Amino acid sequence: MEEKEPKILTFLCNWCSYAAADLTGTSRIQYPPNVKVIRVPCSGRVNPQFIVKAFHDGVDGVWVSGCHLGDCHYTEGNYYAQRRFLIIKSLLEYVGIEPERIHFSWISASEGKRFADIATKVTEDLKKLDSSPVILAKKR
Amino acid sequence: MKKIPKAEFINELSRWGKIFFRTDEGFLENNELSNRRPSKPPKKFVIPQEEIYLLFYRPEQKIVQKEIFIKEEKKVIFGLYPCDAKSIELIGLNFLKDPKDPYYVKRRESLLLVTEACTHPSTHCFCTSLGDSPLDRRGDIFAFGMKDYYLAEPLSDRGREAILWDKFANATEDDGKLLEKAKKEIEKSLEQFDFKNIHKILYQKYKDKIWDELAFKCVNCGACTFYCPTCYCFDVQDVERTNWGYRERVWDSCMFTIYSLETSGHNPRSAKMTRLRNRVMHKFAYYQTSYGEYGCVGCGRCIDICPVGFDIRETLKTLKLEAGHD
Amino acid sequence: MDKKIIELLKEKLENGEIEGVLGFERKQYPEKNGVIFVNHSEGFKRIADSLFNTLNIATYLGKLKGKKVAVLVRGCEERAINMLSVENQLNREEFFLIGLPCQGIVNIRKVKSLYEGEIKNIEEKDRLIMVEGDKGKIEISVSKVLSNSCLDCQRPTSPTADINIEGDTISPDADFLKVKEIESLSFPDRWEIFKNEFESCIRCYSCREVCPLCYCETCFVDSSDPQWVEPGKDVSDIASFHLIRMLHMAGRCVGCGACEIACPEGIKLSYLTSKIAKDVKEAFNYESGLTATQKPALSEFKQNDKGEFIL
Repeated sequence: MEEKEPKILTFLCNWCSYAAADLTGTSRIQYPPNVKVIRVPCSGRVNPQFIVKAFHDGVDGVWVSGCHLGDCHYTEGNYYAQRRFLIIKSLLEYVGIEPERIHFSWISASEGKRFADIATKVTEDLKKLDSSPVILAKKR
Repeated sequence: MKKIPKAEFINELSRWGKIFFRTDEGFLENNELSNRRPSKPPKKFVIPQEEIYLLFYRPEQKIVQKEIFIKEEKKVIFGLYPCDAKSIELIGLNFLKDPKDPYYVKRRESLLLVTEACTHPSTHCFCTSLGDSPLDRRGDIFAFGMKDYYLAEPLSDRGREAILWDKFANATEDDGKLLEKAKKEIEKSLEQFDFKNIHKILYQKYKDKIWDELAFKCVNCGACTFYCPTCYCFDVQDVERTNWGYRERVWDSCMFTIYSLETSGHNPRSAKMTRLRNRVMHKFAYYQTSYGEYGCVGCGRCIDICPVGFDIRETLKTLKLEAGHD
Repeated sequence: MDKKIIELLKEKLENGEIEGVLGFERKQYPEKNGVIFVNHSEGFKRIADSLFNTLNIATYLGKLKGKKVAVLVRGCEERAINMLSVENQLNREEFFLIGLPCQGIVNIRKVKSLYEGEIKNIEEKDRLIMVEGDKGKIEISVSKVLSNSCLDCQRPTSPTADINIEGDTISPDADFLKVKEIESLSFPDRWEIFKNEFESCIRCYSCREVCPLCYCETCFVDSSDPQWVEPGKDVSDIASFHLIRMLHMAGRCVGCGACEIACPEGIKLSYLTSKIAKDVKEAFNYESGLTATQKPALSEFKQNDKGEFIL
């Protein structure tokens, strides 16, 4: 029986994490194809509604990545994002969404290898869960 | 009127369709009858909260539309009080007007309404103030519960064909007198206001400043419209998926800000007061003008459920007083 | 209302300092205590403190924009007014706040679950609720029927009110016991609890309308482009609505419990509101609405914010 591949919706900040993903590609480093990327200008742009809606639409996991603290292209976007991410992860886990489904990271534009490593980790973590749909997934 | 042993009555009816009994919560299968009006009205049987009626998909390049029209299984709504039975009639006035709503029609035809006389009005009931009675004969079959029997009679063709009435004994004259006595007692037990010509006062007081004061408490949440047995407003929404979607009807509420929001962005009822006033006018004036009946059955569920303590009886009383002083 | 307070308010009304008083009207059970705005001194006697003043009075301030109003407030209501002031929704200067000694609010559902028959009357005296009905009379200690939000209340007093009425306030354990209990469960068990609660939601939005901090002109639920949450009764849609609303409340919710008591289905929204209050307290050492200038938790950051969960 074919195991269903988990789908991971990924928000990457344009200046650091997305550039890191590009570097991973140009360096010909492999990473799992489960990661579906959406480019955002800054990790601070990620609205908690995106994450809840993503789960509602049926993705198995969500990963948001931004610049390292202090390196944000918009100076402080990622600081606000950090506070927001803590609340989102805590609340979603509280209602029963497994922690393996939500990941956050800071990846700089030069960390091509690290991007691939984290993408692999996120995918592996998700594969460890049973393949039942996330509780928020819509029925129809 | 016939005198039918309780268990036999239920048995006969169960052959017509699945029986849903009156409970404290709503109308449920396999239940004991409660002795009060359910907190949820029976309107979901004729207008469900969510109804998908159109499916559209794109198997190849063309778009295919498919109407969803599922046959309803027959249901007996057992023990609804005359106010709830009237509410189904009132909703029908709207949906059965030409052109008839086919979804409503199929659902109404699949229902047998067995009304039971209300012997235990709830604290906020005010049906008598609107000229109705807790012992009104409504629905397809009317029944009055005694200790071991129901005094019952059919009121419609569906009711007449539902059970073998000839099998059962006729009610006696004493039974009839008991019913009359009970009617008088129960009607007296309700606090009586006189709202019988309230629509005239509402039209008169439409622009009055008193509405700002009357509507102050209301936060326009919409709870009243969901628990009201006669509120039937619906919204039509398209739900999109990648290569398919569906169109559904869902309950809407005139209390919501976007209820009258137009595509242009203009909202004729953007102020909270205007929406509250609209609801009162609709129930007690516009419905009267359009259909000759008030759109309210006096069940009091709106008063029970309102989180801020808005009371329609107080509101109508105040308006009457205001008009009286003019 | 206290005689001295009535005198003070009469004076302020007469010399034009205020245009009226906003407070709760005490009604006899089963009527609910509603909020009234009284602009003449004869009406002051209608206003009374009660354990059944279960709404958050700050929700009504929007209806009184531009008027100078005196408001009787419990701790959570005062904090809601501070939050609204910080978020530029009202001008704190326009309100004369009278702090009430908060004894908490009672959840009528809890009272009903302790009385077998049909309740005909409820009286309040000292720390007791006297319930009368067709199964006789019983006395219930208020602590047994307090709203869940009151049990987690961090601050029943109103430190930024203009004057405070003397009196004892409740001293809750404020330890987020229920939240900790849920946090100790496995993930499937947690969802069982919430699925059960959410399934009764009828999408009436009473919770949103009675909340003083839900004031968006267009709520995210009303948006169809993009459609964040779909209509209907599927539990995934209902859960999405409540979770997104709670995420919007994080760092802003004052824990008044009006949403849980207003809910016609009795959904335990306090499980969520207490959780976000606990999170912002533990992670950011923040409590909402302490002053009219304190920035909301998610509108600021500190260099030493917790970030171990980030890879």
